Amino acid sequence: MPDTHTSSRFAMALANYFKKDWSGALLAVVILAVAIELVTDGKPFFHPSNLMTILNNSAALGVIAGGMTLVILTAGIDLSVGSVMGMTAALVGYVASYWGFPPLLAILFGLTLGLSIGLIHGTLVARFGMPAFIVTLAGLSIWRGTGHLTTGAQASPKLDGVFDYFGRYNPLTPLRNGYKEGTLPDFLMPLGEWVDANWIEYFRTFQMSLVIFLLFFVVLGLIVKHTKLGRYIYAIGSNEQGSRQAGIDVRRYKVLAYVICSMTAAFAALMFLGRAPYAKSDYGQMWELDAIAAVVIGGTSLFGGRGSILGTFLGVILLKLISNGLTLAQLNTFWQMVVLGMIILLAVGIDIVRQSATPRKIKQVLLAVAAASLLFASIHPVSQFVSAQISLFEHNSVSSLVSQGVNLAPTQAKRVLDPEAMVGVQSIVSATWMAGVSLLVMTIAGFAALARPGRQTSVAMMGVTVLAGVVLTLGGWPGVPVLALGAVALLGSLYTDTLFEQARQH
Amino acid sequence: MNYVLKTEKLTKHYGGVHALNDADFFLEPGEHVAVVGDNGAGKSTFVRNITGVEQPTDGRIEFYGEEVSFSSPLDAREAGIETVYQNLALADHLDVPANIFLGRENCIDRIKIPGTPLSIPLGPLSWMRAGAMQSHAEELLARTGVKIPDLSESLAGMSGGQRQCVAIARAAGWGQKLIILDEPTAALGIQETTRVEDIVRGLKQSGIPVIIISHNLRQVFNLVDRIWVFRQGRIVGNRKTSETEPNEIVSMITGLDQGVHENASYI
Repeated sequence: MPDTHTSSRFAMALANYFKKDWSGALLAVVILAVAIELVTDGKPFFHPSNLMTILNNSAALGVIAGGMTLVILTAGIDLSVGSVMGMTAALVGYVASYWGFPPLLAILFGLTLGLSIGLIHGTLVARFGMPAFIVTLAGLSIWRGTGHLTTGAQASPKLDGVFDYFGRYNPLTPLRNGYKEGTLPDFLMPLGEWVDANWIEYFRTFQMSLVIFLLFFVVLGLIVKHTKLGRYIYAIGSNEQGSRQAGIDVRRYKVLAYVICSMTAAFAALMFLGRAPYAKSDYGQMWELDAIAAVVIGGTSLFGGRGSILGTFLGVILLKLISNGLTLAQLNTFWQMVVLGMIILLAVGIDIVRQSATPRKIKQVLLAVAAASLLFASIHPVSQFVSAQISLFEHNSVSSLVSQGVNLAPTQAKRVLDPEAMVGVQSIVSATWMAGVSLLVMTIAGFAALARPGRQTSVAMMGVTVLAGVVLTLGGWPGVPVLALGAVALLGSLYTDTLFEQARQH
Repeated sequence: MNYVLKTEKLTKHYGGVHALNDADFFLEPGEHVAVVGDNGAGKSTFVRNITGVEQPTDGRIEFYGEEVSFSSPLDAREAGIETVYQNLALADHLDVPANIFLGRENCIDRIKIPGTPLSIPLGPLSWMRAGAMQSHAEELLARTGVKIPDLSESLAGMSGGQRQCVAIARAAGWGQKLIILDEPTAALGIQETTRVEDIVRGLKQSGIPVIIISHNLRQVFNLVDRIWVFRQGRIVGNRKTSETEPNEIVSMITGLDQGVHENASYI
């Protein structure tokens, strides 16, 4: 152990860090980024062009999540953002191509659409006292349907280049072209040369998407922290009746939150059009869930009043990293959905514990992180093993039905394996059964350990984690870096009591 | 005599329910008074009507010699009546200065266009002067004797007493004309009650008039100059604290003979 002074200062710093709403999200982003860096071969993950690509891909969703943060901070919710985004994209594309609206007018039309929808939602919620969940659930359906109806659910022709300025346009292009054509003013020439020389390596992926994304979050962060609007949004979410008693025009500010949210959805539609080849009314499906997930993972409470814009930013990045990382780990999209849901549960669980921090609960959360990392690490062999077993079981039961003379539909008869498939399934079982069974047992043991947090449990879990790592390595499955995350959590659980004791002494 | 607050025949009916009848009340400058009475005696109705939460059915209210009729709590507050509600009206996730200035932030609310007399109103985007609010809050807390170790911490982590103190300090900071405290110590422990009572005594020294609604007669006798007793929607009388004793107040509250309730548990 280091001497008490340093370690207690460390404990204090740690305690202060975890007071921040965004602490969990930042930790997860860093851990996941390092884990991805470790598992990817070739081009390093932390390469600027890769990071910029992640930012570009996060931009449209990020902007929506930013608006959503305001609504959730007021203890509301907006389920309609995906539909608003889709409808706006479709209609903007429609009027820009078929009605011949000049691009700027089409853009203005899109933003006005967002504003009007926000006004409708906000008025229904704040003035008529309808539950935000219901109003925006209705909106989800209405605006998606309207989008399909008005555009016939058909894709628009290719859009005007102006829309590229919201998305794929690279703001460094004029500099580079100017250098190549020699039209740059002299003092900019060295800069142009440098940009051109590093174009492929660094600047190719520098797009308006990420510029707008970052700028948007800086501005939104300043608004939330330093203006009346931000202050009142927190106050309303904290104590609506109290805010009214304190003289705040609660209705007006709630309406404003919904207006801003819908307008960010409309703006995100423009950003999406800036990267998409054409406009279509099915854009943005399920985006409301991703946006809410990002906000919640970022440490913002669904009960309102607590959270931060920085947290949402990190939440968006985390979402994109997860899908990135899981793709690299060769999990298919269905698994990605499952894992994403679990990560949301974990993030909210951690947040709840952070609110009522006792050493026991913290140890439990750290153990849960370790158990979850066991689960994620073992998903590959375990899912192969389990699905092969299920195929065998189905084969047997359907075969016995067939032998009894039951007539089966072709799709049901597919459950019967032909000899070749049978060999395949059996070879999967024989290759994975040892690892599959042992990892399954270890994972279940890991979750069972939550009931008895303590030093011995942590040490035992550490042993299990190492063992799982050996099994995975021998079988050649990915997932060891995920186990490293569990190991870190377990180390933390060993020192929880010490840290708490020291924090208390100050 | 100049009164801070004076009501004549203040009456409030909810349909057929006569919650308050012909209430004649007065408050002298710098005076601290208590409003006591059983549940349903009309004290809350009385307070709601003088703070603009509700409008009286009949009667008149004078505030510093002028007849007033408040259409909303905001109206009353602008006239200088600050009310500390039982729910405190605090935003738990904000820090102390934010709560003290809640709804009355010190803001840059206009941007001047250079070279013209015009300016653009910022509305909801008014920029808060965080530094000024912080130092004003510190000064206010020092003046009212409220001790909070870390102002930047959110109220969620504070004790009931500290939160009550913040709410009273906020009222004292804005309402120099009249402060109304609704059951200020109902939910507090002994030490915290003492702390809150000290702050109320501090208001007495600064000459700020206070109306306290309380169930706690011991506290009432410790803190105030005059006691107003409500029973069944009527004011049954007022006594100077120095000229009465708990038994008399109890029998006024209950309407029964003196002595019957000598052991009333809420003395």
